[in-house]
Amino acid sequence: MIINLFFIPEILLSFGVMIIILIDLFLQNYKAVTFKLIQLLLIVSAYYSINGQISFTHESYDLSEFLNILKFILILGSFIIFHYTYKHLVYLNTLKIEYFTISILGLIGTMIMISAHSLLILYLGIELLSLSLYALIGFNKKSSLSSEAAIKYYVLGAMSSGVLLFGISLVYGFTGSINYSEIANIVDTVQINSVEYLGIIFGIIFITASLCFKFGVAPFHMWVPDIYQGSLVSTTTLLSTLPKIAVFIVFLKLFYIPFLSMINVWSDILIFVGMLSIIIGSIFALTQENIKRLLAYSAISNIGFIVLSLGLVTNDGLQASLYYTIVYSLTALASFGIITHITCNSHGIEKISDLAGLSKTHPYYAILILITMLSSAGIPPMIGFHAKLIVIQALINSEYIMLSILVVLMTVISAYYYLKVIKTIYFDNREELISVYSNSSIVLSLNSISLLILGIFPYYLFNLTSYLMDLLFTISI
Amino acid sequence: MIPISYYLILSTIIFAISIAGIFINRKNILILLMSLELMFLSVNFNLITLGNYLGDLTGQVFVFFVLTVVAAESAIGLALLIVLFRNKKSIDVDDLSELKG
Repeated sequence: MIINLFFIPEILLSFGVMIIILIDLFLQNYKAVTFKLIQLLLIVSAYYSINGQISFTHESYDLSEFLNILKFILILGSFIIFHYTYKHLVYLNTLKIEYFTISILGLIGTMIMISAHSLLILYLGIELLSLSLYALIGFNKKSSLSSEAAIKYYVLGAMSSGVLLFGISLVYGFTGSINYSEIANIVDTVQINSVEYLGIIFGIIFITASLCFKFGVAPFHMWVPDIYQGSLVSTTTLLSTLPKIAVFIVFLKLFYIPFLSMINVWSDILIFVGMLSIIIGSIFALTQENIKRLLAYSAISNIGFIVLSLGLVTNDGLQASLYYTIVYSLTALASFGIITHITCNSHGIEKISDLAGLSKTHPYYAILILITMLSSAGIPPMIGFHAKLIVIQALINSEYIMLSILVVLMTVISAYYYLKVIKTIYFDNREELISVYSNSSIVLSLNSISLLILGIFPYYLFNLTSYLMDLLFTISI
Repeated sequence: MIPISYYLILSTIIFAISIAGIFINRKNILILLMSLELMFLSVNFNLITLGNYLGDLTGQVFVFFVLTVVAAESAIGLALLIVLFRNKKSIDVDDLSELKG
């Protein structure tokens, strides 16, 4: 049992990170070798995340097959991100192995978050993730934009942790436990309109607000564009995938295990917040000139879809949100991945107009951007279409007809700015030099083209999500 | 004996003061960091009160975890503040306005 426990991906990664810090200390001049070791570590822990035969629910931590598959997805995602990051940092001459070790600590944080079965462990996981993100955002020490973004994220992130803790303290005080299952039992039996009931509602609202902040959903979205713009593109890639998947699973577990009997409280909040962020994400993106800010608003509206379908509390809605989360992560990885590969005037791409004329100089990369943008806009052969379709189907099945009309309208509006990027690439001309610093990136091609392939055969992903759904309902829920 | 509601009201007031400190403050980032500390202290107060009221140790153990994490967090915050000061030569809240769109 003890030997088996060592091969839990969290423990494996924690040990690995410590060893890599030591190796990096002695092999300062062989950073490429150390990076290969990091990749090896990720592959090994990905292997053990789905092949380790451990599945148990401890008092405060659970390892089930559902979570193992999600951990596999998280590790795979960070593998791809590291691949992009490495090239980007080498290009910028700022390669430091610390970047990757801090990222792995953040990865461990996300895993602890999704495996948490008690509010204390949840808090510790969220903090481990946030502390690594503060450091990663401020990684570019010479840039005043980067440090400004870092201090903004720090102040807001610490405040949201405080709000989360306040919510946790209320839930703890009025239920007497911090364990998910025990809270569920007590919440089931609490009398409506008693003092305990009110206290728990306040706690849920505080916790939801704080998680919405970490998720970047509408009323708490102000930080997203600033931080996406200020940090390195590779950090932005990390920021727009791993924490989103993890916070989504935390939402799922919190609402479907401890607070399930409070459906009337949180369901409306989630639907409202989701709808608001779809609207804000679609409308505010229209005037953006900076490509990272544009993608940030696009992320806000995409996350609106996830939260909206989670708030429906039906099987369809749950499956739609899972499907959308996976599709969104793939699309975000691809679109930010392409931006890490392209440079203009020896700087990274900042303005949308920097991309002008890409189709003449690098037609292959232009096609990759075309695929990802069409997928984000939801044009049929791409996977993004199916994701949006499933969400709207779930909305209609729950008889939210007006909401689904509004969602379709917002999708049409958002298609404008995705098409604007494509128009800039294909129809605008410009003299200045655009360069792509790695001519063959297999991972990037696979990532972008998978959006098309999965879109032509949507049932592969659909089968995966329904398999995940089956697993979800066989565990403790 | 002081009723528990007094403690809860006190901690809520401290919490509200710290939130107001974050939003109203337009001068100095250090004051923001102080408000954050105040917020975590109010939460700790809440946890200890409720744990004592319920008669179990979970709340008090929770406070130890919160204290350590907050110490790490403020260390990172001060480090970021120093980096910011090197780049901008000021730590005014109003100067945090380069990122706009």
